[in-house]
This record gives sequence, C-alpha cells and structure tokens, in this order.
Amino acid sequence: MMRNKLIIIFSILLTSNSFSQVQEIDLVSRMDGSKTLIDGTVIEFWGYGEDDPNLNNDKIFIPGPVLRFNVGDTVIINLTNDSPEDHTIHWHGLDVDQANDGVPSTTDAVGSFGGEFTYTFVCKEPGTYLYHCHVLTTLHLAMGMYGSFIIDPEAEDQIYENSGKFTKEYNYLFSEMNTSWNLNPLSPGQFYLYEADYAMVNGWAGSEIEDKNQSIEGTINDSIGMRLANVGYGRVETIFPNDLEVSVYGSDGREVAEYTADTIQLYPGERFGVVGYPQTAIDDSIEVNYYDLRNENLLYTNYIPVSIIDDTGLETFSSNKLSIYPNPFREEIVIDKVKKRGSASITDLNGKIVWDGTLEEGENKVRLNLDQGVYVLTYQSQQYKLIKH
Amino acid sequence: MKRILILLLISMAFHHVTKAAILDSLYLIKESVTYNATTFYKGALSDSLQPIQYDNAVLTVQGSSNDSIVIMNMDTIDYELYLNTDNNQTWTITAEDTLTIELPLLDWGTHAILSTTTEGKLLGTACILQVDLQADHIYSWDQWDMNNVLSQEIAAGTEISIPATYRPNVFTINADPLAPMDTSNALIHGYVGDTILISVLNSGNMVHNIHFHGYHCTILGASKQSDRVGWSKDSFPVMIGETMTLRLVPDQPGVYPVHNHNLATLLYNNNYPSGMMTMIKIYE
Ligand SMILES: [Cu+2]
Ligand SMILES: [Cu+2]
Repeated sequence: MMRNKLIIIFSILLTSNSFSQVQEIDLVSRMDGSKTLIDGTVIEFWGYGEDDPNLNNDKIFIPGPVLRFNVGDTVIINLTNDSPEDHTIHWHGLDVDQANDGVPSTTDAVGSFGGEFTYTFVCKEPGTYLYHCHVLTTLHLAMGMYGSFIIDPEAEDQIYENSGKFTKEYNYLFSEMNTSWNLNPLSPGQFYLYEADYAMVNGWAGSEIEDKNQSIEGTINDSIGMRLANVGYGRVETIFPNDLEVSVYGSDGREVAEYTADTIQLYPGERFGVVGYPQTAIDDSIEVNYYDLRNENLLYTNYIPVSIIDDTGLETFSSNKLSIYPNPFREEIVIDKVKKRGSASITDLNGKIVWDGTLEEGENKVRLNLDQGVYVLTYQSQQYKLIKH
Repeated sequence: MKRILILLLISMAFHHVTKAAILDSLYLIKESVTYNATTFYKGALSDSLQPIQYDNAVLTVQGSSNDSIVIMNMDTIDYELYLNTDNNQTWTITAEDTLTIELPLLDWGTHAILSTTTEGKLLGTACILQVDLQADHIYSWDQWDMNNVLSQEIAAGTEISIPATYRPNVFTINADPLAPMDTSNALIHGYVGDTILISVLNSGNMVHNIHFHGYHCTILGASKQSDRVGWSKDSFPVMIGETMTLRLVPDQPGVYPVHNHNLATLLYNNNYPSGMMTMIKIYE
C-alpha cells in the first residue's frame, strides 16, 4: 500500500527510463565541512552538497555527490553559495560553453552569502567526468570542492555506447589532501609548497574503504565495470589483482581501441573506463599508489578489497551479507545472495519507510521511484546503505 | 638509357642543392630573467639577442630534406645537444663557438633538440621542430619548471642535479610564467571549424600535463606515449623530454583556459592564475 502510494507520487515527478530528459538538481557550496581522518585528526573542508531545505540535508561531503545523467539529457544545476567566499562549478571534460564553464575570469563567480547561478548544458558523450570549483582553484579544489559526474549511454549496464559492458559497477574517484591547508585554510602559506599527505578513494582512506562499502564483491561470472578518476595534483597508479583481467575501453569520456592493462596511470584530471574479468576466485585488493610529480615520491597507498567467489562448483562458505547492486542505483536495485526468505524494509535518513516487502531466497529485483539521496535497507536486523541517483 | 641516367643524376644533384637549406641561426643562451621582481635563470636556443628572447625557437622543417641549423654558443661552457626522437643523433658545441648541425630526415610531427649538459637539461635549453605540419593555425607550447633559487645555483655550476627536495616555484609556457596574460605567444586564436595544430614540448624536470576547457583534442603524435596516438582527450600527461602534436577543431566559440591540472603549477609569486595556464580564443 505504502509502496503503491509512493509510486504514484514519484511517477508525477519522474518519467522512468527514457532518455534525453530535462533534469534539474539543486546544489549548495559551503565552507563549514568537518571530517575526521583515519588517525583521528579533525580537518575542515569546503565542498558541495545537495540543497534540499525541506529535508535539511544541505550538508557537504568529500567528495561532493555523484552527479549522474543519461546521454542527451539537458541538465539544469542550480548552485546556491552558502559560504563567505565566491565559488563556481567547472564541468571538467564536459566541454560546455563559455557561459557555463565556471571560470571566474570568463564568466562570473557565484557570489558569497547566498549567491546563485544556474548551469545548463547537454550531456553529450557517455563516460566519466569531474566537477570542481574554479575560484583560486589550487586552494579551493584541495579543500574538497570536487566530485564525479557520470553520463550513462543508452545501452544498459555499459560504460560507453559500444563497449564496457558490466554486471557490477564500481566508481572510484581518487583525491589527495594537504592536511595542513585543511587544518588552517585561511593561511595556507605559499601555494608552491603544497604537500599531499593524505589520499582517498571516494573520500575514504585506509580501512574506511572496506568499512564504507567500497570493496568489490562478486563471482567469477561477473564483469566488474570501473570508472577511475584522478582529481588530485599527482599521479595515481592502480595495480589490479593478477587474476582480474582488466580491459580499458575509454578515457576522458571517449572510447579508445580496447587494450588490457594490469596497471593504469592516472595523471591529474584523467579518467578511465575499464572492465575487470575475474579469471578465478580472488581474495586480494586493487593497490592505489599516489605519487608526487615533482620527485616521483610515493605519498600514500590505499587498497580497494576485491573478493570474487567461485560459485560454479560446490556451494561455498560465505557470509550472510547481502550483495546489493548497482549501488548507487537509478530505478532498479538487485538485492542478491538472500539466504532465506524474509521481510525487509527501506527507510530514508529520517526513518520514514519508503518500501517494505518480502525478499525471496536468491536474487530479488526491486524497482524504486525515489528522490536522490541515501536510504537504508534493513533485513534480518542488518543494515545496508543504498544510494539513489 | 644513358640520357635518362644523366637526367636522373642532374635532378638528384638539383634536388640536394635546393632542398637542404639553413633554416635559422640560433643563439644558445643561459640568462637571468626577471618577472615581477622574481629572478630565475633560463636556458634557450633563442631566435634573438636584441631584445633577448628567452623562449626556445620553433622551426618549420621539411621532413624530406636534410636542413641545417646554425647554433652560436654564447655560453662559456660546452653543450651536448641531441634529438629527442633519436638519441643517437647528438652534437657537441664548444664554448663560445658556432656549429652548423645537419638534421636527419624527420618523420611528420613535432621533434625537439634538447641538451644532456646539466645546465641545458635543467634550465630548459631546447628547440622545437615542427615537421611538415599543415593546418589553419599552428602553435606551440613549451612547458618548463624550476625553482628560482636553484636555477641560480645551476647557472653558477654549484648544483648539478634536481634535488630530492625539489620544490619548483617557476612554471612557464614558452618561458613565460605569466602565460594567461594577453601578451603571451602561448595564446591560441582561431575560428569555429578551423584545424589548429599544437606542438607540445616538456623541457622541464617533472612530468606535466594539459587540461583543455571547452574542447577535447586529438593526440596525433606523442614521442613517449605512442599507445595514446589517436585518442581524443581533455586531460593528458606530457612526459619529461616528450614532444606531442595535438589537433584541435573547435566546435563552439568562446574563451577557455588550458592549463596544467597539477594545480600547484598555476602560480607565480604565489599569484593565481599564473604559470602553466593559457587561453584559447575561438571566434564565430
Ligand atoms: Cu571555491
Ligand atoms: Cu578540472
């Protein structure tokens, strides 16, 4: 009953599954972020968040929200600047026109204390892009004002229109931090002395990567789509597990002739679209090394756990954890590896139930018409974070 | 038969005489440059001493001819020069001497003459060779980095390598740390639909990169990244000593920055934007 009512409400707001729509979102830029690093240090950051005063969720994050649209969509992004300095959004790689390019010297900055600007452009080519502030960029980007931007092709479960088909999808934005700037952003000192000493995968470092569900999980029949992006100022090297054969299908929102790679080097601002094909069961990780371009010193290493099980033979021992994908999702989410039939519910962050029903043993497909945001699936007293884009 | 042979010999001789030419006379310099009260040393194969041009010469070369370049070494030390696309091609020019170097046959694209001599290598002494490039507009960008204090020690011979603690504070395109300004020869002008070719050289001491606003460009040549030739990119690295040839065919008008996305290079005297940023201006 609850579900039906919600579908009616949201069907008015969204027409599902067709391409080339007009999509409008509201973002906020703020300079009052606070984040605890893995060693307990509390730093300040500046960044972007979703602007929704009704839900009071105009909180900012490192990185900002993943912005995801379909090829052909006309995107309207309303930025409200709730901060004491000017900011913009530059749509890195999207080749938008000068008026929407987010460069203060060629357009206008979005003024402090409530300034507003509406960016409008068409999503031209499927692939992986970035967005970031372009005001005093060396400082503002380093402070956290960046995020990923994804354009899906018309083809389902594919990175590009003609290539990059996957059964599971993981998107990794690599970034760095010069923590002394984030501890004291009002007097960062000479910019050329920038020293990255902390590095992240989707904003997480060290053991957080596993704790925050960034790990790759699947079976040997899965093809693991990965969008890799480097918004840091140094080189990022991703070293894949031996038994994950990785094919590169494109870079910077353009397809390239396919090739296989055991390592990918991402220089500042670059993006790659790849698919990993497990050759065996894997219990390993993707090693992510961050290097200083000035002297090739290794600054930081993160690991993205990769757990691939071989389910082709006998039943394997595995945890009671559900496998949920794609996550973030758009219309449909697959809740897989349900060990036993049982009831489940999905709530928003205010605890309001937006879906309840029964999960059957094995794989369950659930279509959800929800607003963008974070939701929580509860099943057998375990909670799972779901992200709707 | 005999007549044909004689004609052939005559035409070969004629061919040789007309096509091999002295392209230019360049000055090998190592000079101090001051911009906005900060001084650094820059090496160059320069087109002019009066006024001194600190940016490296860019020469138009026909690949099918063995053209020559006259180089006058204005420095008090010997220099060894080499071709970045063929390390076997080297030339030694003694202090305060003049040498005529004959170029080998060169493939289409962008090449550079660089130096293995410490001063020349670290201070960015180079010459860009644009071989058989044809387009509506042809430009070149030479990226170089240095620390201004270190450059004085290198020029004085007291420092002979890039230290592990290297902290560059001078980032230039075409020897200009103020490349975003309208006075820079790094600025690109063109019309929608034009074919613009850009030669790129990294004559610096670290890997650099380029990010285009407004457009993707096609990598037509890359001396150290042959696997990326043909790619359409908006962000890509330029390795140390690498030459690249980029093709830009603008599909929209506007003024857009082009810059290094290691954003710590967009500075000079702690002013942003400076350093490795320039502009593309495309008219309707
Ligand atoms: Cu900003
Ligand atoms: Cu950017």
